[in-house]
Parts: sequence; structure tokens; C-alpha cells
Amino acid sequence: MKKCLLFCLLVGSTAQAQPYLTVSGQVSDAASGVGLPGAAITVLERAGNGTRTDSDGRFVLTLPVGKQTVRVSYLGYVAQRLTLNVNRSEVINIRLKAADNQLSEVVVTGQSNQDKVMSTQTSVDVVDRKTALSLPVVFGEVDLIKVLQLKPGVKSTGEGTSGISVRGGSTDQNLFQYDGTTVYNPSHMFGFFSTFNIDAVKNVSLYKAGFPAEYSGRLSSVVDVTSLTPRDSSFHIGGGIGLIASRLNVTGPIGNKIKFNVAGRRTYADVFTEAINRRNGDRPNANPIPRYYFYDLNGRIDYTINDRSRLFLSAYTGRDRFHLPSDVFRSTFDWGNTAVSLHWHQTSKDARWNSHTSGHYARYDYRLVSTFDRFTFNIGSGIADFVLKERVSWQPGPRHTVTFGGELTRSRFSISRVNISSAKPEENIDTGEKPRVWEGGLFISEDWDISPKLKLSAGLRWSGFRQDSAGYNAPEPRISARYAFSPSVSLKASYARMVQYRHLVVSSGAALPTDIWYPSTAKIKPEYSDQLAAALTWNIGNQFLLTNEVYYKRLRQVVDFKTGAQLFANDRLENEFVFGNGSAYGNEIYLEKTSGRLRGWVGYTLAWTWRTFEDIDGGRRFFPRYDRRHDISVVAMYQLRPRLTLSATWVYNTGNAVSLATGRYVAMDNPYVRVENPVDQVVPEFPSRNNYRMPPYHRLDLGFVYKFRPKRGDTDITFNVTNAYNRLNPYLITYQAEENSEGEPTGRFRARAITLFPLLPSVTYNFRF
Amino acid sequence: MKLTKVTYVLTVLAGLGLAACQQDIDVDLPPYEPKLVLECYLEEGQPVRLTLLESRGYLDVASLPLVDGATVVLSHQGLNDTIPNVPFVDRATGKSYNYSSPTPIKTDYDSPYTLTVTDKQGRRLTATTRFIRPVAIKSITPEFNQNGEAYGLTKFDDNPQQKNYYRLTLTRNIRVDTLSLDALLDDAFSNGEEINWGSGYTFKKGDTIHATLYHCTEDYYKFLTTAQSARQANVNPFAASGEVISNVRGGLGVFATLTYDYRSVVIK
Repeated sequence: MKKCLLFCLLVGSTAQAQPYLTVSGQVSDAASGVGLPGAAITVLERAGNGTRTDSDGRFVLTLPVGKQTVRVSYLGYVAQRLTLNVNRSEVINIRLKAADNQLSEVVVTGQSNQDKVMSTQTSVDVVDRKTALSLPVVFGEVDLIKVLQLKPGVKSTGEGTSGISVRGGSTDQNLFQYDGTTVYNPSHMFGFFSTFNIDAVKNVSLYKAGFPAEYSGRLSSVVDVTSLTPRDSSFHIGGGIGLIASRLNVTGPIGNKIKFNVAGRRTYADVFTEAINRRNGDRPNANPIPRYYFYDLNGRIDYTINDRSRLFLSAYTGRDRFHLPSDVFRSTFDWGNTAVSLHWHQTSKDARWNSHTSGHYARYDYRLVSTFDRFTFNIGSGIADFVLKERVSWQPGPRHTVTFGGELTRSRFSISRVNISSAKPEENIDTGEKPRVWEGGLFISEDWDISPKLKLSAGLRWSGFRQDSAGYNAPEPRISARYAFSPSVSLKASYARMVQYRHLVVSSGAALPTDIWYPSTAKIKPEYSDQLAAALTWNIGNQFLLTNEVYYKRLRQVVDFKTGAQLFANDRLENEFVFGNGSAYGNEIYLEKTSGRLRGWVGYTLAWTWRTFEDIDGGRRFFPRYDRRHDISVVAMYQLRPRLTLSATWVYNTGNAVSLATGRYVAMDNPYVRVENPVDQVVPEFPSRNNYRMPPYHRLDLGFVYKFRPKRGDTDITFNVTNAYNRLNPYLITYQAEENSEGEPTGRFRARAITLFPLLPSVTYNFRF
Repeated sequence: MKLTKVTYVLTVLAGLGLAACQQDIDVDLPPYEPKLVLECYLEEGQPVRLTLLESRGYLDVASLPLVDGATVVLSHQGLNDTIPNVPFVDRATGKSYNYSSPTPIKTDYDSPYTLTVTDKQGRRLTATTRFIRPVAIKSITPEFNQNGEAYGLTKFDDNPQQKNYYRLTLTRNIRVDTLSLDALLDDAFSNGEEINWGSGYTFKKGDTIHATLYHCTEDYYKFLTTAQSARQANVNPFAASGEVISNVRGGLGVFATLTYDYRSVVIK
């Protein structure tokens, strides 16, 4: 069967070889030189023929020999017509000028409605800078990942956090990549902000199903973040000043062949807390306020070797640092990611062959150093990857594109490193695991325009993994098809298998930096997912896009932890895992208005998610925390005046499934241990996993962006109101003992809800010169 | 000066924000069916001490729902001993039990002990435990800092032949008092080696350190650790799941043996 599939792919490809020639090049903004992704190139003599530029604005067009006229267009730019005399393969670069009434910032839009109808790709969402910059955000910090949470099938894992659950998958089932490099913990401030600085990011693509064969490693989604292409026309300095953080970025050319972009961001609450601590320094019994900050630093350098070859180096590093400057208990907790990659793009002379070779280094680690009493605690975990990737695409004919390649990863894990030292060596403890693993994959896929109505994408990935004596390999077939009933209506279907060889040890209900990545071993088998999806897509008058998509996902060998698992300082953590299965299914309806002064979307998801573990709740199936029956998001952006944009988002979803004690009893634990407060003897009884449904969550956020008209550059001021009607959505429900007027426990309890975000206004000033 | 004022304003604003973030809510809990809760300890030379009560819905009216009139049978080596519904108050510790047997327990390390409880409603609990040999404390050493405060360093040897679980408690001056140290530990770090465990600097010259090293069965240790986790899960969003591992079938609680070594030392 597998041989048959490969045979069909290759025969199908070569059978189409005809005397066509290729024209390739790049479509870019005339002012900045930044490539325009998704620009349309239409061959006027051949109805239906044409292409779209890729994420860098590059294109390859296969044309018959002779004179051809092409039209190049892009939203907000003046279209160009070019007459080409096709008698040899050639490279052309096209620069489009912005239309007069457009703001000068180069904005990157996602795919056009027509692309979305005609593509075979199901279940993909692309969020661009422009959309993210227009929407209201918490504390004024623009966050592309939080915009993704407004799309159907994507759920926030907690109030205000940038963690996502995609179609019933857990947080560790999402592969976050920055320019192809894995980012293992893509959040700051315990999940409240993502690591992706808007000044350094061009767009983010989220794949929920129908995964291209080049992607693997996680069961539920791929979040592909692309860095911003540097400007090649002139220097620009930009940034923003917000309530909790400020940003600065510089971009521009160095000579004709090199261009760069550098962006940084840092919070500054620690400046104020330091001032308070200094002021209270002389007071007896003063409790110092912890010092906390995070920063990001992104850089990208592009070097154009020639028209057919270019290099770029992309680098990111960011860390969070929390410091408790107490004399009694001094503690420093810092964690962060590093992602560095070098990319080499080459195009053959006839532009039929494109190669992308890249090397990547990814690292995530956390370290907690504390001094208490006579002890120094040094606790940490981490993971480092060295990766080589090759991706080749080949266009044997106008209706075929074959893509193949592979990747090889060497990973070093550092798990639960615990070092406790004191003046007494006999009290010292030093423990931890440091496994090394190999992971790799080979893939091949083909896009085949069988007819104007029918298009097929089929591929196969073969992945493998080895750690000491444990080795696994698995085929990962992918197939998707599109049938176009008309140019504006299509039906798509896809199937994809994904395999996950590394697992996240989540120690709590919240995503924490102390969560540990753990490799597959002889005991811990890889996790598998199989997902079927089908979508009906309708481009309504080029103004609206309506999509209705259904999916069914089956998960096998997913991991959790046994009751009473010891996750901290355990040299044999693999003994604490339990294994189970899961399923998720649902229907996502999405209506987007893609043009005009009013833009936005309405999304609704009806979904179910289940998990079953033999060792949890006696094998009864249960809802994981992120199961939500109904999920609604309404997003609106209205350009009231050329320089004034209003926006609003409203979300509603069924409350999380959480474990809540329904009963209580008293246990003394030991006849000889004295307990001061009888309330401390109360043991809560949790009847089953995630037995309680939190109240529904809903929230309205409002935004207001006003662009000034300075003499030079662009500046704007952004006002946001988070939770405009002050809905106190419970983040946690806890029981508290009631006390009488003398402060003694009455023996009764009351339920109390903790809310994170009441109504929160914020303001940010952005500039670009 | 200006900066100081700004920081004060921010602090006040943050305080107001946090105050606005808590509220009492009505939680619609499903109807709760009370369960039997058993807590029973066997100890060499001590009477059987057993508490039998019921659990309650979390928001129910307070009461100590003792369950009296149940038939409680302790079985060991084919002999059944009925534990009468006679309250027992331990004068040394102030703790009370609603079932007790006047016959002191004689330790048998080779055979298990089984408890069967049947209440007037016909509800039935069973639980089994066994004695394990105590582990001796090798030494308790006071270690001073420059302020004249001392911590107690307790040393004992771990048996490499088996997985071991311990609870080490230290009190100051009075044996049953507020704990200076309450450590639940297993031998993961130091299997078969000498284990050294210290308290905080809570002692001074002239104090007496009372150390008790409990050698726990796995069942008892898991009950203690998971009950501790359940208490944390009730108030901490970052805590792990709150299921309690119990060796009582048909209900809640624990049936455990107490084997320990006790030593005290006066700090000079």
C-alpha cells in the first residue's frame, strides 16, 4: 500500500512533463522592499492560470513558450501588468506601489478568500500583524497567539494566558516554531504573554488538521511563527511604550545585499518594586516585594547571494527572572528560550527546483536557586536541540508540485536536576537524569491539480526516535483533497496521522515554567493521533468567507500521571506516568468579513473531548480540563476614519471542567502529631477527575487606535479596555473556613471564587520613524 | 520623591484590583452521599484506637458525625477480636476515638491484620495492614549558627533491601507539641545509605529535641502524601490532582500500624 502511494506520487508527477518554462521572482513593496505574501499573479491569456506568492513574496509560475501577459495585484497596492516573452526560464522582481490612501506601514494579510476556497489545506488559520495590532489586548501587549485563541477550535487554557488547546489537545500537543526552530515554552509571566514580540513577527500560521508532511512531532497542532523580513530601502526605528513593557526595533539595509531587523522588549515593574524595597530597607520587619521582569531579543540578518540564492540568520532569546530579595529566604527563579536558525534558500536556473536547507538550535531551561537557613537549593530542568533540515520542492509541470526532504534532531534533556548543599556535606543531595535522544523524519508529498475542480495533496512521512535501547519508528500518512463546485464554493477533506515522541510533565492544572519535557523510553511509548476533517468553504462575493468544518480526532498512548505521583526530584520519573486514550470531535462554523471598513469574524464551535485512563477513576472516561461544549467568539474592527480604528472582541465559552471537592472529612493522620488549627485536619474529597463545570466564561474587550500625523514617521496611541463590563470570571474556586467574630473557626465552609482580571484599562504609545 | 509617590499609587491600585478579584459565589454541588470514614492505628502495647465517622458535603452544616453502633472486628492469624464502641481519650495527646479495645496490641511482623466494619445501615468497610520493623535513629545532633540558634540533625540508616518510607517529626521540649519538623520522605535519594535530615534553626541551648522516626508502610505513606496534596489542591490552582489514596475498601480513611523509634536530646 505504501509502495503504491509512492509510485502514484512519482508517476503522477513525471507523467505531466511538458515543454513549459518557469518564471520566478519576488513581489515586494516598492518603498521598503519587504516581500508581499499572497500577492496574486494572473495569466490573462489563460483563464484560471496563475499563482500566489509565498510567505516571503516569492513565486514560481510555469508558462508555455510565447508571449504572455500577467497581472500582479495585492490589496492596498496599485496593480501592475507585465508582458513576458517566455522563451527561457527567467527571474523577475516586481515592486508594487502602495495606493495613495493607504497608510505607509507594510501590512501582511493572510490568504485571500479565493485561496482559501481553492487550497487543499483544511483547518489552517493565519493571523497577521495588522489584525493583531488592531485588536484590544490585555495590558496593551499585542499578542499573536491570543488572536489565535479567537479562532474556532482554539481554546485558551486559562484566563488571560497564551496557552492554547487545539481541538481537544493538551498544551503539550502543540508544536510552536519560530522560523522553524522549536520553542518549548512559548510564554512569559506564567503564561500571560507569549514569547513572540509583534515587532519581530510577520505572521503566524496555525495548522489544526490536514498537516503538511514536513510537520510532525506533536499530536494536535503546528503553530508556525515567521519572523519579519527586514526592510531593504532605508533605516527605520520603531517601538512602543506600554503600561508594563516597552519595545524597540531597528530595521534597514547594510549595502545592497544585507538587511537586518533587531527588536527588543522588556517589562519594568521591577523598577518600581526596587524603589519600594529601597525605601523600606531600613524598616524593621519590612517584607521585600519580589522583583520580576522578562525580556525578548529578536534579530534577523538577510544576505542575498544572487537572484537565486539567499541566506538568513534568525535568532531569538528571551528570559523571565523572578527574584525574592529576602534575608530569610532568598530565591531567584529564571527561565527562558533560545532559538537560532540559519537558512539557505536556493532556486534552480529554470526555477523548477527550490531548496531550503537550515540548521537550528533550540534551548529551554529553568533554574531555581534558593538559599534558606543553611541550605542552597539549585533546581532545574531543560532541553536543547540541534537540528538539520532539508526541504526541496520540484515543479515537474504546471499541475504538479512535489515536495520532499528530511530532518535530524539530536536532543539533550536535563530532567529534575536537584542539588541541595549545606555546610554539612552529609545533608547534600544531588540527583537528576540527562538522557540524549535522536529523532528524525523523511517525507515526500505531492500537490496535484487533477482538474480545475479537483485537487489532491498526498504525502507520507516516516519518523523515527532512539534513546539508548528504546527505538521507535512510524509511518505518518497525510492526504487531503478539494473539490470545487464553483470558483467560490469548495468541499475539502483531510486525514493526518501525527506521532509525538516527547512528552510534557505537567505538574498542575496551570502551565508553569517548571513543567518538564521528557523523552519516550522503553516504558513510555510514543503518542499517536489520527484526525479526519471535512470543510465546506464559500467565498461570498469576495467580502465574506463562510466555513463549516467537522472533525474527529483519536488519540492513543496519551500521558498523564498516577495519583500521588512524585514529580519533583525523581530520578525515575517514567515510573510515574500512566497511559490512556482520548477522542475529540466537533463542528466549527466561521464567518469572516474580509474587506471594507468593517472587518472581523464570528466563530462558533460545538465540541466534545474525552480521556480514558485505566489508572484514573477506575477507567471511566472523563472530560479533560479544556473540554468546552460551546465556544463563541465575535471580533470586529471598524475603521471609523482613515486614522481611527475601533475594535471589539467578545468571547463566550462553557466553563472549564475542573476537579472540585464535593465532600470533606476529618483525619488526624497520626495520633501523636498535634495540629494547631482543627481546620488543618479537614481532608477534601474529590469524587472524580474534573467532576465540576465552572460557570460560563464571557468577556468583552474594547480597543481604540488613533494614528497621529507627525512630520516624520508614524505614531499611534492605543487604548484598551479589557473585560469592559467587569464580568468576574472565576479562575479558581476554593473553600474557606468560616470564622466567628473572635476569629475562631465555626466549622462551616463557604465557596469563594478568585478572579484574575476585573475591568482593566491600558494605554500604549507606538512610534516608527 | 515623585517616583516614590508613583510607586505608592501603583501599589494602592494593585491592592484595589486584587480586592475586586475575590467574591463569594454559590456553588451548585451535586447531592452528596455521606461515606464512612475509618481511621485506625495499631501500636505495640497500646489499645486499638479507632475513629469511625461519616464524611459530609463540603458546604453542609458543621458537626462531628461520629458513627456509633457499628460492628468492628479485627482479624489476625484466624482470630477475630471485636472492638467495642467504647470511647477512648488519650490523655497524653488529647486525642479521642469512638472505638477502642482494652487489650494491648502485640506486634506480629509476619501476619497481616484485617479490619472489618459493618454499620447499622449495612455499610461495610474492610482494610488490611501489617507491621514493619522500626528503623533506629542513630543520632540527633544540634548544630549551631552564629546567633546561638540550633537545628537538629537526625541520622538513620536506610535498608537497601526494600523500598522505605519515613515520617520524621521533631518537637521542642514537649514530645507532643507543635512540630518543628514534619518530613515525609522516601529513600529515592539515598537507597541503602545513611539518611541525614535536619530541621530549621528552631532550638537553643537548654532545649530538648524530641525526635520520632516513623517507618511507614507504603499504604500509610501514600495516604499521608495524597491527603496533603488534596488539602493543597483545595486552595492552590498550581497543585496536582486531589485524589486521596486509601487502603480502606468501601469508604475513606486509613488503617495503619505505627512503628517508630523515639529519642530525645538536651542541647548543651
